[in-house]
Amino acid sequence: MRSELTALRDEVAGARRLIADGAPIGEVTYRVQSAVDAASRRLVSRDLAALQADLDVIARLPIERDSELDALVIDEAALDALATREMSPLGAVESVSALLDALRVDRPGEAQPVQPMATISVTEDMATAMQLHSLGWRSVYHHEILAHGLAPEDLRTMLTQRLRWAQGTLQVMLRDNPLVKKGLSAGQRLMYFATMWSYLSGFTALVYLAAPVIYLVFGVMPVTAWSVDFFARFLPYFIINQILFLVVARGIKTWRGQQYALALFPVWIEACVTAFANVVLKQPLGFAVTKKDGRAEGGPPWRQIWPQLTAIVVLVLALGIGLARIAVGTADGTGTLVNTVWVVYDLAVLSVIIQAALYRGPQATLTDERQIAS
Amino acid sequence: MNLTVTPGSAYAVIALEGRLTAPSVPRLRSAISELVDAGSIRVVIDLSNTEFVDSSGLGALIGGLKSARLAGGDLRIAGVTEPVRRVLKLTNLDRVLREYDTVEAAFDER
Repeated sequence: MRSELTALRDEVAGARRLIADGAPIGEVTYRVQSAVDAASRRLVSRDLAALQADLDVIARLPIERDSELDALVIDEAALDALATREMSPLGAVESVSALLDALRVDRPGEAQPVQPMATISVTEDMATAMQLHSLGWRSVYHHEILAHGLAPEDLRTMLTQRLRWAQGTLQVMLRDNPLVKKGLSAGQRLMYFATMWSYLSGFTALVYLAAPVIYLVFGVMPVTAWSVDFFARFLPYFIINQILFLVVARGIKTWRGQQYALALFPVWIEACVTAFANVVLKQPLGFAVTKKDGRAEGGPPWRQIWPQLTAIVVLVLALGIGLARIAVGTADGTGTLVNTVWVVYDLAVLSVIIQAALYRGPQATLTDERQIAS
Repeated sequence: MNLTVTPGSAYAVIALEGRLTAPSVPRLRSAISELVDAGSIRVVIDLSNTEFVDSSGLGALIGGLKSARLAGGDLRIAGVTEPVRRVLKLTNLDRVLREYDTVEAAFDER
């Protein structure tokens, strides 16, 4: 215990120096936290090893054999549990528990004075975060898992959840718009507004899907300039956009996100309509509850994704017509080529919805793999 | 933690009040070994006022059980509170240290 405390003291002194030198506080506190956790584990495993040795001695005694003693093994799970912050032997040392309290990420003592829970929206977490920021609180990234959550495991449940997220975010946009909210910095205004703005993309998606269809079937160009004018405006935007995605994602794949942003267009439109009806026309907004066991009953929700299915059929038909028009010589080659690429991209993006509809959750996937393996 | 030793002819009782953690463990260990050395080899640990036990406290209880058994006696626990029971279950030690409802019941059978 003494040597662990000495080591911890050195660790804290080192952390102080790092912070004085301008190291990010989140990283330094995480290091101290990890050192405390490691010390706890060492102390507990030493205690448990001594305990196991005692048990072995007891088991060898000829008298009064406890029948179950032989089978007793103190496992990793018990070690982990005994080393947690609440159970750790280090917690008995007051200065260490004060240190741990100071490094706590949650601030239970501040909950009462701040009372920030925002109730203007069905996405109270996001509204509350914005409220806290406007009150002057700062948020930082913390590299530690503090809570695990359940995520939807099928499309039906996921559509319900996304609808609620979109509705809630749009409610906040209409009720407590970050662009005019007091106390937010310019960056925060932009960031929150971008989140809300992105849910309006359902309408642009309609245009985006209709444009190549209209060209391939009727030969009407969506923009009357294919030339330098168009590309001079489009390409820089497109390239910078994609590069930013790469930079911000830091190696995490964003393709799935890009797919859903477009493929869930009916959800975004429904959210806009219902949130507007709720805030402006004062109509009640049905609270879309996400099923907490992760799975909804029933097979693929074909009825809920008819707009996407229709779009896929129309795009394929348009592609056929466009190619036929080339064959009979009534269409322009370059235009058709560009629009064909466009349609193929749309189909690749929309295909995620079929993939998702047929997905039966991680449990089923695991079972299938095991069946194939055996 | 408060520790009270009550010697007796049938068994001795050590009552622990508060948190049984690293700082209080040496006192419990020496209290048990004093009793056992003096020939009082049947010991009941009264846990009815014990709020918490950590891994070092568990070590002291099992260490006490060992020395009592080696001397031909036994160490038993009584009046276990919920937080302590949770830790005992977690480590499967509830199968080694059977809990008795009261101090009096601990050595009742003989």
